[in-house]
Amino acid sequence: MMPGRRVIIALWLVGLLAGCVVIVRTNFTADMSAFLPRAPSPAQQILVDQLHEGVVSRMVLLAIEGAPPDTLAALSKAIAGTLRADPAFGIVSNGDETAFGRDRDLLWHNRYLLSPAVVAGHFSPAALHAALQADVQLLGSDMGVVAKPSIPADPTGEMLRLIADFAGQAHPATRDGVWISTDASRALLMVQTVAEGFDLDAQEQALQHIDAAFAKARRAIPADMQTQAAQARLIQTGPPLFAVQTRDHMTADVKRLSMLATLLVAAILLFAYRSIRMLVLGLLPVLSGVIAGIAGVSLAFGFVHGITLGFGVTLIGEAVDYAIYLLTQTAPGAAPTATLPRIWPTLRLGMLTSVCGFSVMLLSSFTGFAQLGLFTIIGLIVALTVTRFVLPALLPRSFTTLASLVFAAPVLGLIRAGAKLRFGVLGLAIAAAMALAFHHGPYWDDELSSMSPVPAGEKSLDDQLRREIGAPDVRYLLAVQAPRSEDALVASEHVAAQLEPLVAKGAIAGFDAPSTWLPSQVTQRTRQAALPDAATLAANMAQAVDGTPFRPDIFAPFLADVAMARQQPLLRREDLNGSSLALRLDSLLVRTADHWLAMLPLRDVSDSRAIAEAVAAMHDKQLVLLDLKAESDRLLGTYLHEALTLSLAGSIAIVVLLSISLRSPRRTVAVLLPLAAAVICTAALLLTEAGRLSIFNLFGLLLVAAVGSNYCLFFERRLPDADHLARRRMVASLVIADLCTVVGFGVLSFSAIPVLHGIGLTVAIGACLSLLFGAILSVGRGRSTGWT
Amino acid sequence: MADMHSVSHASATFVEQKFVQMLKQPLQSSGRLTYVAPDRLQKETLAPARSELIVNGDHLTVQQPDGKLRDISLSEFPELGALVESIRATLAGDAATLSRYYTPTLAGTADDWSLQLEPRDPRLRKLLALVRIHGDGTSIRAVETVDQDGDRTEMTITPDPE
Repeated sequence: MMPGRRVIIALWLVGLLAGCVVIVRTNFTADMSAFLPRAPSPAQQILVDQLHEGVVSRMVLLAIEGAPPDTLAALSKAIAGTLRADPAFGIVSNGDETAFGRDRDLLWHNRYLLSPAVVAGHFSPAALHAALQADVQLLGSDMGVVAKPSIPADPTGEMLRLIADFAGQAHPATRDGVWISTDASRALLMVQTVAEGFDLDAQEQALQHIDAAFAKARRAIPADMQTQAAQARLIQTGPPLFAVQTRDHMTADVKRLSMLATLLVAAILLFAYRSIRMLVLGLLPVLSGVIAGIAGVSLAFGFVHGITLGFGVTLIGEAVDYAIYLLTQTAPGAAPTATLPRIWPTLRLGMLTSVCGFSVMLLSSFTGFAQLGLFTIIGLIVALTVTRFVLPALLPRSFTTLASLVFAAPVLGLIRAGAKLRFGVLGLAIAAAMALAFHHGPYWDDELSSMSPVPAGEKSLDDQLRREIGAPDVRYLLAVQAPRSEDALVASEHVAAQLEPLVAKGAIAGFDAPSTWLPSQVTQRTRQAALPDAATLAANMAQAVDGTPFRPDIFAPFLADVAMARQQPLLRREDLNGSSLALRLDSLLVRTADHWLAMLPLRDVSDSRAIAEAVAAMHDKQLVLLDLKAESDRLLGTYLHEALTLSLAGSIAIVVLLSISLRSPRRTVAVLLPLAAAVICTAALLLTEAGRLSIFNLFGLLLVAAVGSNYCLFFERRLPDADHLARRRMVASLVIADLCTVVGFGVLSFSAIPVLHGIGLTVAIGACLSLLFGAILSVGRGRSTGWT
Repeated sequence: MADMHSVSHASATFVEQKFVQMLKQPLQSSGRLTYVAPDRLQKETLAPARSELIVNGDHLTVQQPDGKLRDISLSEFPELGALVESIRATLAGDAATLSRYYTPTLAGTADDWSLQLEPRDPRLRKLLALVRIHGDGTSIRAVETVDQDGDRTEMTITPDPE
């Protein structure tokens, strides 16, 4: 009957195929930089890199509990042994000294190149004499037994100084040579994966290796501890675990909930259509929209972000409704082409309204937002086009349509009672607007942590283990950039020198610097030059020993070591290979695209202002003080601010569009009033319930506006004929579409993951209110529409 | 030695002599010892220079002659931990802890006993040959430690009059 039927189907199939070809060649990425502003500040860039691949993102904390301390210690040693031999792990620390053998050797052989105390005059007779006096005191003290072996070769105590730096942070208590919690209930370990933080598959494998190492340790433990070891439990925490768990939870939630939502929506549609074939046909527009959306984004941006995909499919959920409107509003036995002229203008305007609202996202400075905007626009346009042209061509000549109009009854009742309820709704909307206007405190949740999918219980366990291990979260970081690694090390030394006074003042407890573990070549050369020649040193030493209780002949190893240090090749990065010094250095000195970045994490900052002042006083444009928490909150603030601005711009665009299309201020108000009332009431409800709104709620409200505007447009529509059945059919189609949206998103609100919960709850409430308010307020315009 | 359980608080003065081969003459120091059951031990050296060592549970703080406080984990310096436990565990009558670090041999009578401790850990044995503790009743009178290289420390303890 339609002349172009085959042509249309063929065109559609070719389009789908082309879309699929583009998708197959598309580069999908999870690179977080897509959600950085297009011109990120250096601080934001470092922040994202750190979250992504920094040391912090690779650190797993382990605790073994549930057994007597001796058993815990034995298990800790066995696990550490296994993991140290595993190439998946860089640093494995459990307090066990023998593990640091290679580090100790490196520090010992390079102590005169590494020690910051080695300056001119350090080996003068007077300085040496003072050092020897200190050694005598040390020998006499309780530390004597510790210091004694190294005194003949290191009377100035360079090694002790380096070890103290190396130990750095406070360490946990120990038992049998391994870290143990103060109450001896847990053995503690700290493990760093080689894989970068964002490589979740590798992280997951590493975590499995840890489990396997624990199982192996339980089997390998001495027989007398076997029974106790069987009771022991392994606790893991830290960013890699959180990341993997979140992904698993998210996948599980999405799978479980979307399965449930799909089943429920399918049940509703099946009840309405009583035909599986219609159900499948009804999904074609939205599927075509998704394929076109992905392909379009891929062609425009060269890549598609995973988040675009996830959110985008949610955002074009509205497209499911298009088919519902078409299929359920067609009278039994009638051709859909007869229905189309009636509903097409409304559908088109509804789609244009949504597209108008989302199009402002194209202007976003975040690539991620812009992608989402483009995806939604293409998706909706294609879905509606398929509904308009392809779906009628695919439908059988006489198809079963909406079998039951029971859905329409309650809403028609509302419409009839509208005149009475109208003022109630308006009153409610005004009350909600007041609640919003007079809300105490901030509206928006601008702390990143509240969006974290990590459950509070696990976060507090993580905090507890961190405290016990003495590995607190790094919050403040100084970062300095330079063209070559040597320049970065020189810069690091310069910054470190400025930080020393702050440590002395107590503004910070300490800091770590790459130049501590690999001083710049210049500094090493200067230190070498500060070492006196053999004859001078021997003479100085002879003079220094005089007046101390030391026997003069015991310091031959010292004279030999200094003589060697004067000639020894300077320490280079490759000399550190295979030691934990290398890993430490690599986490502090990293290569960026075309630069080297030296990072100096600050420990226990008590006076952040003093640090900011010191940094300002250094007048170095390459130096950045990073407050990781403030910076990530600020980044979120930027998102929020931009999302709000864009939403506002989108709202204005929608008003303009409707005013032009409807050509009547009165009709425009009639469409917008129920929609605005629904959005305001939803926002007020959420704000009252949670105290703050999140960026996910905002996304949800955008969706409410997109979906709700369709309802309001349909309600507003003037019916040229007085076909009561057609009207009931239309109301039924709105109810079915609304039910699908409320059920689909309502199910998501049961997720514990903030993003799913936030969007799900907002859309479920908002869609529900949009329909109710649309129905009630539609009578407000009197009899002209023929509703009564 | 089991009677040691009954000691809840003890204080004493000590004189310590270290015979170190690196030095021409022995080093002498003196000060006070305070023990509070079950696990706090304080060694306060008054002469020739002030220093202080406090062990509280598993937490060890050393105040060095230069006044700097140092928190030490006993595993960083297992030698130190073993030495501390030789006295503290003996005072606490804590045979379990003692046997964790040492093989103990008790000799003599309740009024005049001597406890010889040989380190178990091979790493510790590289440094420390043995610890010998003399006592009468519930008081420790002398602690002698002998390092593997032959250096010795003799601590003579005089309990405060009750």
